[in-house]
Amino acid sequence: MKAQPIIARAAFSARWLRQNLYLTSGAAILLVFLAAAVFGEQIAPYGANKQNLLSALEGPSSAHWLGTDPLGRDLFSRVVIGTRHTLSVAVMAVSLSCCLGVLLGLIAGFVRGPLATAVDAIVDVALTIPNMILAISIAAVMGAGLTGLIMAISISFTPPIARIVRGRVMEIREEDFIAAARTIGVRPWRILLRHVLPNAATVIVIEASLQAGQAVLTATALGFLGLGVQPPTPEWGTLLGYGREYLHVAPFMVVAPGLAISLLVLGFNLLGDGLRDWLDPRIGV
Amino acid sequence: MEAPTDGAGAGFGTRRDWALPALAGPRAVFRFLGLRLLRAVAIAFAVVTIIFFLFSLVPGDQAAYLAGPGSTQAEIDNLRQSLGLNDPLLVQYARHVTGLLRGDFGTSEVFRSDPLPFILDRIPATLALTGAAIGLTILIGIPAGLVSAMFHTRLPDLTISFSVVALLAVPNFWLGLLLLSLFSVQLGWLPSFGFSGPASLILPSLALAARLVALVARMTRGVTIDELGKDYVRTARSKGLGRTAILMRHVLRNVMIPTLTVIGLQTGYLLGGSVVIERLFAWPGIGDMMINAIGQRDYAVAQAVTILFVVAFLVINLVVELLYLLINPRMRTA
Repeated sequence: MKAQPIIARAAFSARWLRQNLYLTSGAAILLVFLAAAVFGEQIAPYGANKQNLLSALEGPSSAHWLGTDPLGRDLFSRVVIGTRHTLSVAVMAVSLSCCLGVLLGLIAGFVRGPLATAVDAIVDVALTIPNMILAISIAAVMGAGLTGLIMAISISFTPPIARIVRGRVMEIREEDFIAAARTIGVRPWRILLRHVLPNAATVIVIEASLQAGQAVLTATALGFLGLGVQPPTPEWGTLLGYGREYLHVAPFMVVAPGLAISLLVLGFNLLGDGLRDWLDPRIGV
Repeated sequence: MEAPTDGAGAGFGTRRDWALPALAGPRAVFRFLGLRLLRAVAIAFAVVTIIFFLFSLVPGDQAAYLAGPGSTQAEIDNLRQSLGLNDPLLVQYARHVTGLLRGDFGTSEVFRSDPLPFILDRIPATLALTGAAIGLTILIGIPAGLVSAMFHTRLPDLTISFSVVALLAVPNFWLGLLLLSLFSVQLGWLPSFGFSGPASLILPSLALAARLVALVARMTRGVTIDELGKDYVRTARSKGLGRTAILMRHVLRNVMIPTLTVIGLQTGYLLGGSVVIERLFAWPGIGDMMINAIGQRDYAVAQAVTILFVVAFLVINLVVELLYLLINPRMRTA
């Protein structure tokens, strides 16, 4: 009889895993990429920029699992070490866009008056500029490089977050507990930070995770266009742009970086969808 | 009452201003559309402003760059004066806006003239690409969603749902690279670059449409599963109508609306994605032109193309709103 709760518990956790398959598989994929980002140099058999012109443009072999590029650099090593660049750009850009977006969303949704109207109008207009076009324009103005890339992505990703947070805050604002807090004289900023923000957190976390996937896509697309991190940094989008030039002689060059991007985006997408299923039961799939 | 969110709220939340006021007649429809048009014009003006000031932040001396290496200081000063770069920013802004109203997009330094004819020259290629992508989305996405719903939780559904998840993670330019590598380089079936007839459209539009196909298939699947559980479907079944007939005659009509919504909301993706895809396939459209212009620091052109993209975005969303009224009579007469 004693064993029963344990079995029930095991069954429960197995069920939990199965029910949250998206969440767990997304987290698992991201953990692998996180490991690659942190221990890139230790995992990679060669250095990212270690050239060996004697073995240039070789196809996949036991010495070079994914082949080599025109300078004889090992593609597997470049992709593994490159994880750091793509992942950190996505994480930094989304952290920035979330901070800014949450701030704007809180103002637009909670405060009443001209400030909120102004913020709302700006967000409205910014949403009319297609995301990618805005990111390309900002990257063009800032110049190619890491700072420009992060600015481009974080600014172009801010309006959607602001819009979502605003919507959620407007819902929360009408709740009874906010009215109660007001009645007992809680200051507005305290209501905002202690009552509104925690209740909006779920929406923010879900959106941040989904945005991270989009940020990876945007960052690599900008890299591919030559507007992102510059060579010889082994950023995945830049690797694809480079590989495109050798498509006729070395088609294997574009396989691994693209696969890595897709898997990373898949990880973020699964995590976001999983979080939504898990945290926000109101939204069915 | 919350301010209406519309196509501009791309991808987030629902469209709340679908519904017209109760008992709306043709006059109310026109009034509604007139208001939407006015709003679009106001937004376009605001975007022009934002884009102008964004591009005014470009570091470095534009005149020195354009004059080229080896030019004298006098030449640079002359060029700066003739470009009006010595005027205060607000004066430049006023000139920019009044110029746009006259159809003057500034002077391209690369073309040494008004860039408008060159831009207009490239618009058909971009229209063909995005149009083909929308066509593919409807032709592949809706049937895939319907099949998925009809075989709910069975093999076809699982296959399609899996493909949707995969397609949403794949970058469009990588998909384009793989298609290019397989069908043009290895097999030699299709042209690898440029715009030369319908065959050259296949690969770029497939690469661009993939994400939209996935989104529409997912949306169609969800809506169809919902619709199939409704009373009118049971009624149709009980009067002896077959499953396919119900799907085609009754359900499809209701499925069109969310599909249209997805396409309207994803217009931004379509336009932004076209820039990357045009670059990949050396497609002679305005997206490719924009990237070229940025590479050559020809910011008048980059700015003009950006504005054009935003106008296209606004126009497509207006068209989507118009189509709502056409497809769904309930929205016409509330």
